[in-house]
Amino acid sequence: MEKEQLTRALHHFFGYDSFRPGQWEIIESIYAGRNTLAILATGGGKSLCYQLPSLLLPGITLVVSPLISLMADQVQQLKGKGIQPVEYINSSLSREEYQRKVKKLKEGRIKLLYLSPEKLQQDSFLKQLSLLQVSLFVVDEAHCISQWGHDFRTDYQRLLDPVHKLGNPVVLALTATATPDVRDDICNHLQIPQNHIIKQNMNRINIAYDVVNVHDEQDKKERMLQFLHQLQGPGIVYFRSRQGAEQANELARKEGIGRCAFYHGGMDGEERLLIQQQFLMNELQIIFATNAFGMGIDKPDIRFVIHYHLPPDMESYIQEVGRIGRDGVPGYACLLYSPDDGILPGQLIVEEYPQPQQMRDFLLQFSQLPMGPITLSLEKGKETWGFTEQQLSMLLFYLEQKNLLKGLERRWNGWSFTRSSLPPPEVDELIYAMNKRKQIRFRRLNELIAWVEETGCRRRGVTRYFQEDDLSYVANCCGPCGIDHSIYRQKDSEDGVREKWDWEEVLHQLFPINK
Amino acid sequence: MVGDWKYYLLLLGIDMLNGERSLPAVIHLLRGRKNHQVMQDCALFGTSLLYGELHKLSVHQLQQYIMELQSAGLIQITSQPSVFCTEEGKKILKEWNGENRIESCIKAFPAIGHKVESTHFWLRLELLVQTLSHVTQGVKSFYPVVAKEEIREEVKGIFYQEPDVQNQALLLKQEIYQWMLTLKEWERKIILMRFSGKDKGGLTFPQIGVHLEEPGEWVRFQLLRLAREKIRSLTLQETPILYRIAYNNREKGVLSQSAQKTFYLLKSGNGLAQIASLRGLRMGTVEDHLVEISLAEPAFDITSFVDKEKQKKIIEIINTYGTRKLGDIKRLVGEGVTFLEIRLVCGREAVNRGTWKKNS
Ligand SMILES: [Zn+2]
Repeated sequence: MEKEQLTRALHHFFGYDSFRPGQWEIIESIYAGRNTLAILATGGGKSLCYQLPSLLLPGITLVVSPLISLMADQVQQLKGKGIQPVEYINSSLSREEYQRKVKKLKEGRIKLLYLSPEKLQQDSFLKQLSLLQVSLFVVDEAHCISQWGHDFRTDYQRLLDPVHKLGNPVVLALTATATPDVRDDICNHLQIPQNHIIKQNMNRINIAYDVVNVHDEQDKKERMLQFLHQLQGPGIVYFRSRQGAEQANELARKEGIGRCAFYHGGMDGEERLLIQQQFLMNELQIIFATNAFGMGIDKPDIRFVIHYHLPPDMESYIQEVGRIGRDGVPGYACLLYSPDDGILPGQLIVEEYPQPQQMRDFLLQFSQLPMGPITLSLEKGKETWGFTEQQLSMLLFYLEQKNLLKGLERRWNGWSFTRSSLPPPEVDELIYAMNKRKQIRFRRLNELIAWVEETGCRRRGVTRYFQEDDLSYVANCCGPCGIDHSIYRQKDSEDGVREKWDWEEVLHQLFPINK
Repeated sequence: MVGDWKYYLLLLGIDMLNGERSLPAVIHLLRGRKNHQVMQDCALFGTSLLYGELHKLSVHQLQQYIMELQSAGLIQITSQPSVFCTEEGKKILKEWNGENRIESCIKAFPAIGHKVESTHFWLRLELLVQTLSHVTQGVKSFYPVVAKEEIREEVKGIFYQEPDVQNQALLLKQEIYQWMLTLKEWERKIILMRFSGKDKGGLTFPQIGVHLEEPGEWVRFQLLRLAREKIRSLTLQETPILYRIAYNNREKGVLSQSAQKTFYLLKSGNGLAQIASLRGLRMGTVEDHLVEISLAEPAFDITSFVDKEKQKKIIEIINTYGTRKLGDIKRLVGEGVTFLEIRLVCGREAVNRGTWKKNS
C-alpha cells in the first residue's frame, strides 16, 4: 500500500493530515510483513499504528491489552469517531455480552478486536478465532512480557503459542517504555529480530523535571497546596492510595482551591466517566488520582503532574509525567519527596506477593488434590487462602513452569488444570522464587529513589536509565539545572464569581432550542 | 462508624429484617445476590433500596463490619441463627436515621424490580439528554457518560424512533421542564446538575452533595426516588418521550423476562403444572415466578391459588405473632397449607401494607 493512499485513509477515518514521527515507519513495517517492536512515548499516537491498518487489512486485527478499562475506552472512542467494526472481549463481560460479541465476530462484523491476554488461554475461544483470517496480532503494553519489566504479567508469557495457532499473523509489539533488557525479552518471546525495532526518542523536551524535598507529611501537604495555588492547570496529582486522593481533594476544597476532584478505581464506572468528562471539558482543573487515571484519555493540554507518593519505578514515573504537554507547550513535573517515602511503595510491593503462611497452606491443600482435572475459582482462592487474582495467577504460573500442573487454562472465573504426579515443591523453594521476584521490584524502586536523591541533572538521569543520550529541552531542563517557575504560573485568575444557580438556564444550556 | 454509610446500611438492614433472618440473609441482601429468597425478603421487609448497595465489598469484608457492629454492642447474633438490633443499636440507628433522612427513598421501592426500573430509567434519560444535547448542536462524537452497553443499545433504539431530532429534543426539554415545576429547588438541582450535555459536564454524587451540603450517598438515593416517583406519573399522552424512556417498548412492568412468559401463559388460562411442562421448567421455578408476579402486579388476584379462608388465617397469624418466618407460620397454621400459599399471602400483605414497616 502506498503512503499516499494510507495518508488519505488517515484523513478519512481520523481527521489527521499527516503521520506523527515514527507512525509511518511502523505502519510501513507491518505492511512489509515484518514482526515489529515499536517503542513510542506515551501520547506518541501508539494506537493509531494498528487502528489504521486494521481497517484496511483483509483480515481481523487482534490487540492484546492488560488494561481492561482502557479497552472499553478505546472501543468507545473509535465508535465515537464513527468507526463501528471494533469490539473488546475480556473476562469482565457477562455471559450474554460475551455471546453477543462472539456472534458478531463469527458474522465477520469485527475488524479490530481488543482482548485480555487470558482469553487467549481459553481453548474454546481460541478455536473460534482460528476460524478467522487474522492479519495482525498486536501486543500492547508489551513490557508486561518481561520478568524485568515493571509490570510483569504471567499471561503475557504464553502469547507465542496462540500466535502460531492463529496461522502466524504479523506481530506488532508496542510499549511506551523499555530498557534494553526488557527490549531483548520482548524480541525473544515474540520472535522479533533485533533490527525490526522502531524506537522513538524517550526524551520529552517540553517537560521540566523537579523534585522537591520536604520534611514530613505536613510539610508535603503545604507544599502541594502552595503548588496548586500557583500552577497553571489543568494538572494531575498522583497518589498510591485511594484514600490519599480523596483526602487531598477534601483538603484542597477547604483551602479554597476550586475546580478539583478525585478519581480512583474504587468509584462506580459512571462516576469515573463524569470526572473524566469534566476534566476533558476543562470544568475541572485539578484531579487527585491514583494511577487508574489518565490511560484512556487523550488530553493534550495537561500542564503539570505532581507526584504526592513515589511510583514503583522509573518506567511508571515517566509514563505518568508523559501525560504533560502533548501539545508541545512546556509543562512541569514535580515529585514531592520526604525521607520516609520509600516505605509505602515497598509495602505495596510486598502486598502484591503471597505471604509465606498463605503459600504453606496452599501447598498443603495442593498436595492433597487428586491427579485428575481440577478447577480452581477466584472466589475459592480468596476465601480459602486470601489470595488476590494476581497472587493466585503467580503461584499457578510457577507450578506450571515446574511441570507440577499441566494444561493450565483460564476459565470464566478462575482456572482449570491437571495436577501432574510429581511431588509438590518444598515451601521454601516457593518462598525463594517469590522473594527473587520481589528483589527485582525492590531494585527497580531503589533505582528510582537513587534518581530522586541524586543532585545532578535529572534529564541526564532519565536518559541514562533508558540508555539514550539526547539531553535537549525547551524552556526548562530540571531542578538542579535551574527552573524559571514563572512560566508555569497561573495566567488567568481562575476562580471568579460563581455563577448563580438558575435551573431554567441550566436546562436551556443543555438544549438551547425553542419553538 | 459515624457518618460511614456502610455501617449505617448494615445496621438499617439488620433492623428492618427484624430478627427474622440470619446473618447470610443480611449479607446476600447488601451484596445483591440474585436469588428468589433474597428478592422476596426485599418485598416482605421493605428493604429493596438496600439491595446490592454494598456489592463492591466481599463477603469477608461484610462479615468484618458486622463483627464491628457486634463488638460495639449495636447488634446481637444468636444461635438461632438470627441477627437483630440491640436496644443500644436501635437508639444509634434512630440517630443515624435522623441524620441520613432516607425514609422517603426506602418507602418508594416496594420491590427490587422497581429499583432496577428506576436505575435504568435514569441511565437511559441521562444518556439520551447527553446525546440530544450534542446532536442538536451539531456534534456527533462524544464520550458517553453511561458505560453499560445494554443501556447504550436501548438509547440508540429510542433515539432513532423519532426521526426529527430537533423535535425530539424540544419535546424532551418541555417534559423535563414540566417535571421540574413539580419539584423543590434542591430536587431540581440533583437532577439538572447530574445531566451532561455539549457544554456541561454532569456532576458526580459527591460533587452534587457539596452544593447541597449532603453526602453523595444521600444524593444518589434521592435521585433514585425522584426517578421512581416520575415513572409512576408517566402517561403516553402527556409525556411521550419520558414514557418511551421508561418503558422502551416493553410491556409496562418490572417482571423478569422469564416471569413475563409465565404470566402470559397464566393469563391465557394455563395452570402451574401445565406451564411447567409447556416451558420445560421445574415446578419450583414456576412457583417462584408466581410469587414474583404477585409482588410486582398489584392487580393480580391470588385467590385462585390460595382461597380466601386460608388467606385470612395466614394474615391472622402474621398479625398475632408478628412473624414472617415461613417455617413458623407453617407450623402455626397447621396442616393443609403449602409454603407457596404462605409465600403468596405474605408477599401480597407486604405490598398492600406499602412495605415500610417500623418496629416498635
Ligand atoms: Zn537538567
